This record gives sequence, structure tokens and C-alpha cells, in this order.
Amino acid sequence: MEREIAIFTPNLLDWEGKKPVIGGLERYIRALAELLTDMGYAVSFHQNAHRDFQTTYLGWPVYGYKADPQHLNVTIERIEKSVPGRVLYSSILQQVYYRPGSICISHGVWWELPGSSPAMARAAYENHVAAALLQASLIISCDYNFLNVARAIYPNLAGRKIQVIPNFVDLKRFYPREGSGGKRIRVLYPRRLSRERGFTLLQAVIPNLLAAYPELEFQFAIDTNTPRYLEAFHAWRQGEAHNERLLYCHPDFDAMPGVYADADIVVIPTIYSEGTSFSCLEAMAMGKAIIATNVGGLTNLIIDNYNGLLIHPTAEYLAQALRFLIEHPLERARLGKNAAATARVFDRKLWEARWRQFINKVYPLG
Amino acid sequence: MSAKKVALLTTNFFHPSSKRIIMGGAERYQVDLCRLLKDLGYYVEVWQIGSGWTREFDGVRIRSIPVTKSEYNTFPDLATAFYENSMAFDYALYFILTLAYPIAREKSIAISHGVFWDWPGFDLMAGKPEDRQEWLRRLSIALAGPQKLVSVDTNTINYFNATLAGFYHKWEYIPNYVDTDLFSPPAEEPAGNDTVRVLFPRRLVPVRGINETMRAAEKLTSRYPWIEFHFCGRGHDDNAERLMNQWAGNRERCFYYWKPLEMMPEIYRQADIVLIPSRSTEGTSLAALEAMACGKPVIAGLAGGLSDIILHGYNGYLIKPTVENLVAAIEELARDKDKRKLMGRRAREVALTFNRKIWAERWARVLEEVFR
Repeated sequence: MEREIAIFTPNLLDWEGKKPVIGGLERYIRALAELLTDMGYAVSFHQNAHRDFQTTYLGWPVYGYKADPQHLNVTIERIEKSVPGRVLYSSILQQVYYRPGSICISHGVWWELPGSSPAMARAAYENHVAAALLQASLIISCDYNFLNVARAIYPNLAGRKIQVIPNFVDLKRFYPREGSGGKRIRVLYPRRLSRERGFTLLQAVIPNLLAAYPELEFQFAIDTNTPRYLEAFHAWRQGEAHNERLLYCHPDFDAMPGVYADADIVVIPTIYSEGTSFSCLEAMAMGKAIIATNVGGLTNLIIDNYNGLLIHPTAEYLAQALRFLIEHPLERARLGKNAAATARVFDRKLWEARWRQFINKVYPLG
Repeated sequence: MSAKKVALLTTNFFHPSSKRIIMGGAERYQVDLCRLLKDLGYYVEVWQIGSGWTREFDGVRIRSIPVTKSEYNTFPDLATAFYENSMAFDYALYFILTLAYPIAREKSIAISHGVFWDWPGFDLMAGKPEDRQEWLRRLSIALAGPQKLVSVDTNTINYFNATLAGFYHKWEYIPNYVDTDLFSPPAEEPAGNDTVRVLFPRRLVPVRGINETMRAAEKLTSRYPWIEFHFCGRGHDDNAERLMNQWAGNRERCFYYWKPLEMMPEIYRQADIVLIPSRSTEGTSLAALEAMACGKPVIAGLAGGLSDIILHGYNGYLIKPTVENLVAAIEELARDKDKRKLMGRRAREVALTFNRKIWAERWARVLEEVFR
């Protein structure tokens, strides 16, 4: 019993329980489950599903619980009631209830949708952040930004309950190397095609840039999780004047180093809801010239003009930053070199060592 | 064409009733900003709280407005009197965000020097939920008036986007700056000295981690005969300074003093490790940037904008500034000269991107957008 830890998560596998979902949260909890297993814990996953299922993934039992996307709280409650013992809550925004002696993970501030009202914002932090602060033993935040925002709202509790462990990059897989090269300047967008990730911001600046720079091309490394995003992407791409220079691919995780290697510039144009982005960390480790926005945990990775460009998320600033890097190859090289150097302090081994301390403290063995 | 006139509103550049002035980070920022405005061809005056006196500082006229009322950290009477009396000025700068409440000049910019409500004591001021909401409501009005909001760190922008998201488009991140010619690493290594000198270059106030640092100094100086602690900064009053003198006087290798700004580069150069262990209320600390520019590794608290300038384990450390964590971080650097040098070299590299010239260019761009 004592060795068992149940990880509650929205979707490690798809809702059929068949395919692993590609995303940052999923990679995070997989890495955490590997660490827990290594430390001697018996890990199980509990997630949403179209209908109840039980399967295994990489040797771990995975339990699916029938869920209605409109009423996820019902499923959350059912999972909470049916699983005894120690729980690790993989995402603060999924939960509202925490049992004593548990850890909850924050993957960054998520509710700062531009134009949302103070009341909407308040509902997010009062329902989710306050609950975690009051009930969980510990909140592990993947960035300093969440800690600082939470402390500015809840000065008393946040400073005590939140610890920061920035996200990691596996330096054995991601390191600077030559790409297939060529005369083209390739800009890579390695993100989900969603609004919060800044896809629309990038769309806005692409036509002028493609027209101005014949040697420029864009590569979209995108997942296939959301069919409607893909449809919209293709509809947009078809209508673009220089779409022969709008490339796309659907790489699995193992192919990503090669995708980064072939790029000259990587854009992380997040508008809201961001932690210490894996894409950003991987691009850093690959020694790429990065343009990131001053949103969430990106500010804890990129220091403007040192290891990348850190911009306010507007189309104007994005276009300006892209033009600058397109026209200044030496600056690309300088920023990329510093990016690779700074990525080393986000080595996966350091992340594991920090997590070990907190796991030992909250879930002691024997 | 005569120069366009800019009025800058602040609370207490001078103490309202005396000539006492302590040049802290905010005061230096204000002087530098006024110089920049003059360089750009503007005529500038400063307005603040006072009995109605007028003074001059660094070639800038400083007027005072006789008001005292302050509620929820806002100064509605001051802001209103300023609004009415500064009509002859073309543009306004609100040096503190909350001064733009309840009314702000149309062509104006407000500045945030960092979140200052993230410490437990703030609860005494606005702890009750309705007070908290009133505070936020006033902030939302303060944010609504000026055309641009300038923040010295990304934390403030992210905080406001997470609470008052409607002002998303107004924010500009202009981090603090350092004169990297003045603040520069020592020309050569001091020879044959094994002493490790730890410097605390802040005011002697709890929020800056003074109490934790004193305790860490007691532990480390008794553990290692080769470690020294230097506390360099003013107290908030004579008594705090006298107590600090007594404490340091009774301890081996603990020193207390303060120095004028022009001597600070040398103070940093003589240090091996610099501490900025803020608990909260922090922006992109000038002291941290100056230490970095002098090629020193910085051990910093996890507060405000410090995570905009320090990458944990790269050019310094970001820690929760408990006694235990401070001792561990100082010990690690104190015992590893190579690591100190590597982090110090990187700190200098990073500091170069916060060069004062870049700060001036960023400000010029924002001023040009609003003041026209």
C-alpha cells in the first residue's frame, strides 16, 4: 500500500485508452512515473475516458473513467472516491479537491486569457489555486512565474506551499548539431496549433515575411491530436501566396532533434498559459536562435538578447524580431550558443534530483 | 519650437518634511529617467507630497503638493491635485502605478517597479476579501488611464494579466539597467588571498532578507575562518543602523558600513559572492544587476523580477531565502572558486544585455509612441 502512488491526470492515453497523447503534460508525468518507479514506488494512472477501461502503458496500469467533457468534475469526484491511498495530482487546473499528504503540480499560470474579465480570472485562482494552497501538502510549480503570481494574490500561503522545479531537457538527445542545411532560412514552430500557443500571431506575420525574403521558409512541427486544428491549418495554408515555403510535419518525439537541427530560428510565440515550455528548452539545448514571448515561465528561460529574444506577444514585435534574426546570422549564432549553454542548467538529472527530495518528504517509504 | 513639458508624479523623492533623501533604487531610476527626458529635448518637473515647498535636484525642479491622505496604497488627493494643477504640462509620467488612480492625464505613462503586495504583512493592509477587491478595483482604474504601462520585470505584467487581463496590450517590459562601464569586473585577480568575501548590498530591512543573512553569517563565520561578511546599506532609521553596528562589532569577520554610490563599483569588485536574498517586493534589482556587471555570482531570493535576470545554477542561484538555504548556497560557492569564476563571468555577460544604453533606447521608443 505504502509503495503505491496513484497519478491522477486528464489524459496520458487518448480517451479510448489506445494511443499515448503527445503533449507537454504527458511527457512530464511519464518522466515522473519513470523516476517514481526507479525509486521503488508502484505507479498507476487514472484518467478520463469515453468508457471505463483498464490497460497498461509501458508496464504501468492505466485506468480510464467514463467522462463527459461538459461535466468533468463528476469524473474527478468518482476517481477521487474510487482510489484509496497516496495520490499525486498531475495538474492543478484539473482538480478542486486534494487529500492530505499529496503533491499537486502546476504547469504554469493558465487562466490569463487576454480580454478575460477580472471576475473570470478570480474564479480561476479562487477555485483552483486557493484549493491547492489550502489542501495539498505541496505544490510543485514548473516556473517561478506561477509562484510569484500566486504569492501576489495569496502572500501567506503561496510562499510556504509552493516549490519551484523548472522543466527539464534531456541533454543526451538534444544537443547542437548540423542540420541538412541549404541556403534557405528556416523558421520552426514546434507547438500545438492553438491560439494560446500563438499560432494566430505567427499567421499574421507570415505573408509579408515570405514576400520580403525569398530564402525564408516556415516549418510547422505539429501534433495530430486535434483534427479541427489541422483542417484549419490546411485551409489557411492553401490560401497563402507562397505556400510552397510553408512546410509541415508530424514528427514523433524521437524525430524532434532532427526537426530542430534543420531549423535556423525557433519561435515560441505564446499568448497565454505557458510554463517552462519543453519546446523552448529543447530548442535551447539544440543551440537555436529563439524568439519567445514574455509570458509565463518563458521569462524564466530566456533573457532578452542573451540567449534568445523575449518579446511582448504582438504581431508587430514578432515581425520585427523575425526580420532582425533573418538579417543577422551572426546574432543567430551568438544567441544560439548562449541558449545551448543556459540549457545545461535544465538537465533532466537536476530535475530528477530535486523531485526526489520532495517525493521522499511527502511520500516517505518505510 | 519650445520644449514639450513633462510632469513626473511621485510620492516621496525627498522626505515630505525635510531634506533627507536616501538614494535607493527608485530614486536613482527617477534621476536617470529625468536626465533621459532632458537629453531627448523635454522640459521636466517632478511633483510629490510636501507642504508646498519647491526645491531643485540634479537640475530638475521639484514641487510639492500638500496632501496626506493615503488609502489602499493609493493617493487619490495627490493624483487629483496633480491632474488639475499640471494642465500646463503636455505629458505626464506616473512614477508609481497607483498614482494614476483615480484620474490620469491623457498622454501619460505609468511605471511599475515590481510587485510590492506579495509579502505576508500586506495582509494587514488589505487582508479582508472586500479590502482585497477594493485594492484590485482601484488598480484596475489606475491601469485604465495611462496610454502605456511600463514594467521593470515580467512578473508584474504576468500578475496583472492573471488578475486584470484587460490591459494586456498596454504593457511594455523595460527591465532595469546598469552602467556596464562604471560597474565592471576587477582588472586583475587579487594575489594570494584566500579570504572569501560575501557582500549584502541592500537596505537593512526584513523584506530584503537581512535577518536570515545575519543568522547565516553567524553560522558560516564560526564554521570557516576564511569567510567574511560585509553588510553595506542604510537602515530605515538611526536605531537600525546603531543595532547593526553593535551586532557586527561583536562578531569576528562581520562588517557593517555604507558607501556613496560612486564607491559601489569598488565594493562589488572586492566581493566574491553577492547576496540579494529578497523575500518579496522585488523587481529587476539594480543591486543585483550591478553585482553581475562586476562579474560576481549572485545568490538571490525567488522574488519578483530576480528570475528575469538570474538562471538558477548558471549565473547565480535562485533560492527561497531561509537561513538553511542561504548557508547551503553560500557554502557551495565559497568552497568552489572555479564555480564562482564561471558564474561571475556569465553574470557579466548577462549584465551586458541590461546595459543602460539599451534601457534608454527602449524608453525613447515608448516615449515617442505616447508623447506626441
